[in-house]
Amino acid sequence: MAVQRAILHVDMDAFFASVEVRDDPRLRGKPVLVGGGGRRGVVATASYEARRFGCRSAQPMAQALKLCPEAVVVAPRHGVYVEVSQQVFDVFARFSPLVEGLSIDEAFLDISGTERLLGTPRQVAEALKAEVKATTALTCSVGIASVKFLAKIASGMNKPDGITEIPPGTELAFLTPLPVGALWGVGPRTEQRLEQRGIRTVGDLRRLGEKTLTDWLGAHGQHLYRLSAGLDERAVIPDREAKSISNEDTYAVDVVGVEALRQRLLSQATRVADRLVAEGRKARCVHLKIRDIHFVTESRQCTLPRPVNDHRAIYEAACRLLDSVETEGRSFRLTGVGVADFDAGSAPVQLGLFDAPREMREIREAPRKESLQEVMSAVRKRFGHQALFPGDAGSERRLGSSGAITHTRPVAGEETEAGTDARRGEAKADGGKGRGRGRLGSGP
Amino acid sequence: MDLEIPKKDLLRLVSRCQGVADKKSAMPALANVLLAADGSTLRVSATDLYLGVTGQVNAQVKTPGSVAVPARDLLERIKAMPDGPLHVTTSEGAQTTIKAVGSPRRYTLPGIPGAEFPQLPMPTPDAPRLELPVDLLALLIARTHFSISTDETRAHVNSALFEWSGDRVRMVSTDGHRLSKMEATVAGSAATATMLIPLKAIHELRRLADEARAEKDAPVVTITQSGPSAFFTIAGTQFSVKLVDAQFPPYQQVIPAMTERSIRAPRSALADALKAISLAASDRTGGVKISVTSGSLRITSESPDTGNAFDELTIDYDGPELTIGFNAKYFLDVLNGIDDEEIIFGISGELDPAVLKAGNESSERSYVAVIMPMRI
Repeated sequence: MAVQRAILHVDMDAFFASVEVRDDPRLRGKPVLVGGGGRRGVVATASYEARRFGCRSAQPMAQALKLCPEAVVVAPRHGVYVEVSQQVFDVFARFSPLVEGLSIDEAFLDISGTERLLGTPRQVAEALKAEVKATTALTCSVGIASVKFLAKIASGMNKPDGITEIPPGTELAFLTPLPVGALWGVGPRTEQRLEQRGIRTVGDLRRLGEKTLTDWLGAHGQHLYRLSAGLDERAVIPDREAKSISNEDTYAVDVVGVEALRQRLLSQATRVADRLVAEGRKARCVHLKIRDIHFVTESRQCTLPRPVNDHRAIYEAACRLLDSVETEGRSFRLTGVGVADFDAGSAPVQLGLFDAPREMREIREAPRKESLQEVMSAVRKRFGHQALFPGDAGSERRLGSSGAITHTRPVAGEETEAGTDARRGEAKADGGKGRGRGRLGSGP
Repeated sequence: MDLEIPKKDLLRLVSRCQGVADKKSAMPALANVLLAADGSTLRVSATDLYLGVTGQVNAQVKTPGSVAVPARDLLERIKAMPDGPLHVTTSEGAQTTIKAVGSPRRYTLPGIPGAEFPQLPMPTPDAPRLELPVDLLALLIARTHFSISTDETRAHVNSALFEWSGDRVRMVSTDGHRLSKMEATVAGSAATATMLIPLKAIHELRRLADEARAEKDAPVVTITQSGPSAFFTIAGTQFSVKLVDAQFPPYQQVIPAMTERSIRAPRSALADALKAISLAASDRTGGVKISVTSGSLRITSESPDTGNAFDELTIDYDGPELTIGFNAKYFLDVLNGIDDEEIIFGISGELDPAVLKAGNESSERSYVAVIMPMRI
């Protein structure tokens, strides 16, 4: 007997804005717009308070401020969102191995067949919401259905902090009165074409029948008919493994000089190493990206003799790459360190005949270094990225202290932090697909 | 040009040359072979500007002359001819016609005048000459060619080192993970030469040597070093190589003078077991574990993706147990290049180089292969 499918769609509530409110209690209850300021800025996320005034994401900031002049505009801190996103996805992973990220703040979970283990889908949704809240102090909304697109529609029905369940067998009743625009793949154009023929609801669409719709709209019409009938066999596909891991920062204050650049690379190499350790992988290829204030971007990459996961090896490779970049008399606005060409963490390492004694020592010491890297990564994972970092990562990370281990979990909204470190950090996971969770640009 | 030549002679010469002709060069002339008739001989040549090959054979030359025609096209057409004499003529504009004598079958190929084909280098008349049995050259190559690096960006190891000092000749190659060195005594010779022969030339030399050994007993190769090139003359075929101008790695330093343990093992049984176990090793690394323990040698492969494999050989060993990871292919290349019944396998630690030697070592011929382990 086939197991009744149960799909959850989890969507964080006003993700960026909620993170900002969480980190700065002064924003609580106020309309908040996260996004670029200035004349050409765009709203990435509007808090629910701001949405009441008609503010939406992707709206020009100027227009949003016209609608809601008292809104507080907050510059996005992508590095933080990526970190929180990682925490949220880690929670998802505890409920199902089948997690398909749609963006930085939403995902499908296939929990089919877990009822005896975890309880009814609603109980799972409640437990998941509680755990997300306990971990991140943020709320999310969950849709439960037997197919993906219905779960996605459902999660949006009862926002914020809601659960909407479409029990098996009630799909048609749920769908019939919905406007056609609620279906995935019905954009304004299709909606207009259907409207011209008097089709307004999903029920209208279904009554047309598969043949008529296919004649009108081709394969897309057939797809729409199936959706209107509540049919969607698409499986929850766990995220494809990323092909590269990179960390990039654009600096508010230009970086000048090799020493300063190296400090940035060390901190980025450390973040990249953490990701490698978290995924149990090693990489052979290291790349460096650097952009000067005239937007001249240079990229360099090299292949290491053996795959690595420790920050020191990645950093040293990045420094060698930096040596081939002309840095004299230039100011830089962006640096990035990335790795690619992965091996499983336990992949065999071929030793070389002409390895220098230093390299041989490195190989002998590699198991120790790797376990050190794993411990460092674990500390950062638990206490945050600023909890532990190499002593030579520079003042940029140390924030005034000279000790090798410094606990400087920054408090958001602190003036010094914003002034000296108003960076846009992004950790990218470039998967094969066009989207990728962790990729930025699509606000919640 | 107008000549008559038996099909088998022309076929042999053209097929020997066409491996050197460069079909993808920016210089279209290099995709050709040069046919040059003079006196009572036909010479056939090809070059890619780095390697050159010229062979010659007796032919009935009515009108001397030369022409260059596409190597592959010519070879195919000669193959398609009936056995027996072929009549080769050129007309104006370098059109080349090949006709089977006593048969209506004929081909016409567009060619270019012989004068437009690049000149092959020639040794200066006073350049020193060395002579070596072709069997020995073939042996040097057979035991070392597989560890030449295939990385064309690293010219110094994308080639084999050929050295001659006193009465010893040796060939050494390495790809950075393994090394092979074959050395032999040439009775009665006393010479000094050092050359880095590129990989493609080693392949061609191997082919020429094998052909010469098949045709005639105990052939000899004459080696001449002149300017930037070396010239090898084998059974009437002259092969020129532009030598690599680079420094071969300091190979003596990485050949262990001795290893802590030395084990004799049956060569073909070991090769057979390694081949079987490497089936289960991951494609990417080919890593297997070799363990020696009292009286036995065990080969294992464990992979979460491809499963496990195990085999065991009885060996004459009495000592502590040691397990080392290796790329099985590196071992198989060495074992397949040797024909001795036994091999000597020297190991020290799990991160130290392993040494393979042929079982019947003599002072006249000595072979050593060094293989670096894999940390598995």
